[in-house]
This record gives sequence, structure tokens and C-alpha cells, in this order.
Amino acid sequence: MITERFVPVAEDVTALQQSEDEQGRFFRHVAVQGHMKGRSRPGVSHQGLYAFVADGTSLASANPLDAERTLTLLEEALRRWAEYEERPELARTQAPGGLSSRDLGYPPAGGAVLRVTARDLPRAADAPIQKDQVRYTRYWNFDHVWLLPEDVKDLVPESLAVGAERQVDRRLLERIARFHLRDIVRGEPQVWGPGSVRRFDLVARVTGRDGNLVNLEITGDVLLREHVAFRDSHTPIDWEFDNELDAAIGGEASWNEVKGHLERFDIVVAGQRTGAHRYNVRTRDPGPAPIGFAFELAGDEPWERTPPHVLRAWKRPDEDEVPVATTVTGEPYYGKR
Amino acid sequence: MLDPGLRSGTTLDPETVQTIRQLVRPQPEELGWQAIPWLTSIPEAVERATREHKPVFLWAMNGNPLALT
Repeated sequence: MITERFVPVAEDVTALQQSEDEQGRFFRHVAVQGHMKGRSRPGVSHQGLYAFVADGTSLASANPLDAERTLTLLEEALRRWAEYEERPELARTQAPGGLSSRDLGYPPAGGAVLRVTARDLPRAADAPIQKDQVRYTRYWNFDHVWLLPEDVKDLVPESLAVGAERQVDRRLLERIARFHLRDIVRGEPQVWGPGSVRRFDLVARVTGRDGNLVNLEITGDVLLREHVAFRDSHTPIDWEFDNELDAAIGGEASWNEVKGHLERFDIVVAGQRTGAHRYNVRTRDPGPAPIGFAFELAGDEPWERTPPHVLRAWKRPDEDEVPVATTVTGEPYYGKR
Repeated sequence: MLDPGLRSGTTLDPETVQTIRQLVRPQPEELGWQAIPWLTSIPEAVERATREHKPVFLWAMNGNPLALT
């Protein structure tokens, strides 16, 4: 129904709900006609499903968490769309002007995009878990890692002889650890703070060749640790946790030495996670408990081209300088180059 | 059977890596939303909705709904 009867679009609402550009104003114009009526303020989440006419007239909106209510919303939207069509005086032929795309950038040319999926791993049979937390054990989430051409090369030993090894550079590992080894399974945690990477060893070793392909074994360990304190997102509770990720790494990759790119990158990071953040729904299930991350090359579908979650802006400190990709904390995503 | 106590220092042999990958990666029944041809910007959707005379259906979440949300 969505594909045939609607034009489907998905966007991060964080900027839309607060920005003062035309797109932000247009979105909020739609939102306040629906379930955000009387509640639209910059700090309030506008999450939800919105059906609307191209001129900004709302047809239906809500923030349902189940298929049945979503279907009800769609049916209501189509009913109102039919009424709208019967009254042509309501229809504008032009979309509102001034709307422009909010692209945060594109994957770096010549580099690589990794998809990282995170999910809880099975717990010990006698491990305690509160009853209201059981439903979350099926949750999973994913993000993207953008690698520059030099990052990709850093994953490959300089010598491609069988047995040759390379310890991956700390600069790249810090980025992967702090921005992408976050407990995202249930929501949006903060990035790991500076100094939280206590140990991160990652070694790529040439194990064989297959024509132009050089096969790599990737092994390592990671230990992240930091103390966090925050106010609960729903109740007036102040939480403190010693957050930790203590995990092993293993997997394989294939490097095409003629084309100079990765043809396969399949590694996992698996270990114990401890702690919580304000927005990752772990305060009642802080562990320690097992978690897994799977990294692989992303494809070209729209959902594989979304920017890394932490990448929120391109900062142009000076018109003569190359724009710098910055994270939600204002740090350069690619580090100091 | 995966050791639920695994942590740094654990050797992940190829069989264990494969088991973890299968446990973590989404199953086909969890990816139904990918069958929908989502656009990724409202301006593009509004332009197409005008051209095709259809309403827009927006999925808006904190974090990108097509990735981390």
C-alpha cells in the first residue's frame, strides 16, 4: 500500500524539528496539524509517521509502534486524500518553494562504507533479566562507517606475502571505537568520550591469495571504559554507570590488489557490554551481558548510503578550506588529518 | 553453542565468527521495510508527489529511520 499509493520518504527528524530553514518550517507546519499539535517545541521529539499532501496539508499522523495502528493511519490518510481530491479548490499545483535537500555529504570517493549491525547475544541460561526487558532481546540496529581511501589502505599489510601482518593505525581504531562500537541495540547512546579507549589492537594478516585477491585474517581485542552520569529521559532519576565494552574481534577480508579496493570485509566484535546512556534504554538492563557487532561492506541501496549516525554537519571553518565532517559532539569525524 | 562469557582475549575461530554473524545480522523477516522504495529527502518526495499526484508518507525518527534510530 505504501509503495503504490504514497510517495514514501524517511528522514532523521532531529534537525527537522528544530531547524529554521524552509525544510524545517515546512515539516513543522505539517506536524502541528497532526499529533504534534500544541507540543511542537525544538527540544521535543517529533518522531512519527506523517501522511500529507505536497502542499503541506496533513492527512494523518501518529507515532505508532505496531503494524495495526500503522495500517489504520494509512487508511485514514487515503480516506482524507480521496476527500481532498473531490475538492480541487483545496489543491495547489505547486509544492512550496524554497525546499532544498539537507544532505550531510556522501561516502568518501575511493574509500569504503561498512555497515555495522549490533544485537544482544544469547545470555547464560541462569543470567537474570527483568521481565519487562525480555521484549528488547530481539532488538537490533545498524549504522554505517565511512572509510577514506587511506583508512582502507591502513587495513592492508604493506607486504602482501602470506604471513605478512599489519597493526591497524590507532587513529582509525579510535574513530571506529568511539563512534561505532556503541551500544546502539535499543537506541542512541552518546559517543565514547576521549580517553575511553583503554585498549584496541587490530591486526590484519595475509593468509593466502586467489588470483588478484589477497585474503586477510583480522583479529584483535578492544576495551572501552568510561564513567557516565545523566538524568533519566523519562523520570527524575539521576543515573551513574561505569560503561564498558570488553570484546574480542575476528573475521576475514579480501583485498583486490589490482583494483585497490576491498571486495569483502566480514568481521565481528563480540564481548561484554556494561552500563547505559540516557537514550539507549539500558538503565534497567545494564549488564554485564553479551553483545555482538557485525561489520560488512555496504551496498548501494538508499538505506546503505545514510551517513554515520554521529555525522551531523559539514563544518567549513574558512571558505578556502575543505569542509570538515563533524560529529554530534563537534569533533572532526575523520580526526585530525 | 556460543560462550555467553566471551570477552577480550577470547580467540574467535572461523566457526565462532560465523555463528556470531548469523546471530547478529538481521533475518529476512526483519527487513520487510527495505522492500519499500524510500526516498531520503522531503524536497525530493514533495516534488515527486506533485508530479505523480500522490500523498507523501514520511517516516521520521530521531536518527535516520533507514539506519540507526
